[in-house]
Amino acid sequence: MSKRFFYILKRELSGYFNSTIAYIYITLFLVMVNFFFFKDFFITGTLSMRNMFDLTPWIMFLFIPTVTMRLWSEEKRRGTDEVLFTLPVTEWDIVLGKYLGGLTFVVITILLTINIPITLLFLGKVDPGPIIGGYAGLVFIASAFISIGFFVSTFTSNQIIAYLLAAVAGFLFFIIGHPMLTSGTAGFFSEAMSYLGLYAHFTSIGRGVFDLRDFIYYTSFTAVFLLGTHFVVKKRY
Amino acid sequence: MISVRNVTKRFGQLTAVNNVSFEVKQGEIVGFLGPNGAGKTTTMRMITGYFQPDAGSIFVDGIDVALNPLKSKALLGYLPENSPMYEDMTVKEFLSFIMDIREVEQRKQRLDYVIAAAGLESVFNRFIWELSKGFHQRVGIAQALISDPRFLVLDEPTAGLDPNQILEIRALIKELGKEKTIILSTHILQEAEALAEKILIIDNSKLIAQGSKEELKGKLLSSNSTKAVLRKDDNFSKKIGEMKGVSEVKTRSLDEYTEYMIFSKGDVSEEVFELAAKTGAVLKELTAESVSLEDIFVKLTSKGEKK
Repeated sequence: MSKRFFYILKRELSGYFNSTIAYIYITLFLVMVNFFFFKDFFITGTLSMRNMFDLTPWIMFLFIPTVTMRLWSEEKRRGTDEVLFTLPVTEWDIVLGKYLGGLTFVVITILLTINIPITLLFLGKVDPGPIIGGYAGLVFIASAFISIGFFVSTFTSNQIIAYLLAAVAGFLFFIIGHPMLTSGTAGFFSEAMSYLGLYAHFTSIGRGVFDLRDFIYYTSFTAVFLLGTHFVVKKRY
Repeated sequence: MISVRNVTKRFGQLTAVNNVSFEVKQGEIVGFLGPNGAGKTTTMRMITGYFQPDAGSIFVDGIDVALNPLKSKALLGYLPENSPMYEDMTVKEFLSFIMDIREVEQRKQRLDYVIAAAGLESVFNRFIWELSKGFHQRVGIAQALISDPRFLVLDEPTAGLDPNQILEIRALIKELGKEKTIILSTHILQEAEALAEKILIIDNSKLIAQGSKEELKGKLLSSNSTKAVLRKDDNFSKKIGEMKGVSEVKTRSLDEYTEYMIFSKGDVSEEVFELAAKTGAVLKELTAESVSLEDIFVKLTSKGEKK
């Protein structure tokens, strides 16, 4: 790896911001997150973002595939992967640059929800711990969704298929550990599933508990799919 | 020097490139000629490191492309077929991106040079998706040149250009060829004839001939070619193949006539006339032809019936 991955990241980001879809994406995401948050906020009247951190992953699993679907599919469709692979960069530069490009874009959108904690600060005394923890959790879960969407987009040159594959795969990983599915199962199985699933790790982060195990989980989840992407990309033809 | 040694590439059952070897010497312009689907693009993709060969090896300036791809890629400028590019970038952004990755020094100077050389002044700030096919292709050429590479690999550099632009780009390639080593593919014979000092002919995944234009012609000129057009006549068809000195006969059907291309040692046009008279075949046309590159190409690559 070299600093060249940074140029790939930069190009990926400029690709997002050069397209109108990025702005529609950001607007829609912010409107949805704000709507769902403030809808209940005035009813419950608690100065907590718990509600938002519980909800945003559900929105993300639909939105992030729109970010990842073009990461490879578009390169394949336009043949620009041939330009990339014949430039003096390694496959790792390309994979990391693209992944971080997607992640940076999503992190920017997440940070734009800053209006919510600011509103809370104006309304009273807020415990910053769970908010920081919750945002960190969102970034980690975004990273996991991006890595899985990135991986599946290497298999098709069709963006719609890439979107659907990413949404389905993300959804599966999200729900396997959900209490709705694991509550009826036996001890070990239930624990294993909730460890594998994205959901369980997220709830503890959302509560402001930043457990090392969750950190390891998200990092390794992302790493596995980045390794998979690198493998597919390295093999090419 | 680019050295391709016994390179083979398969895609599943299909062998796209079969045991191909050749060398491109320093400062040479080599034309890669062959029908569509013959293996030109696949070979170029292996030289540039996009594909890995299944067997054999490729060296660019002594660097093994498989072992040290970063180094070999840094030496090469590459124009891929159809020159794919990031359509969502402007010409300026795209060229800057390539300069970033290729770590070009003296950026301003290089940028000014490629913009002038490829004639991009008027579209410099436009998005690539807005460009016509001709400009698109020229941005591709600019991109390949921007790092001032010692080696250029150009896959159909004049595809999609209008006749004036073709002449401009050919002049540019000729000019570049004075100091750079260039390998270019084309299926246009005149282009290879106009640009290349050495020609490689590839057909059906195999390299079937290589040499300078003169060498290739010389090979064929040891045999003459005679064109004869006759009313369809089986007896003549049979006997012409058995005629003394004739090495090969290709035929083409033209309604009630048949066109024969007769390759032979020495001029056989008189004998052909006599044979036609003897068999009673109706002779419409008889020409002793000089050999053009096109004949070489057709002779080597066509799968026309052999008699």
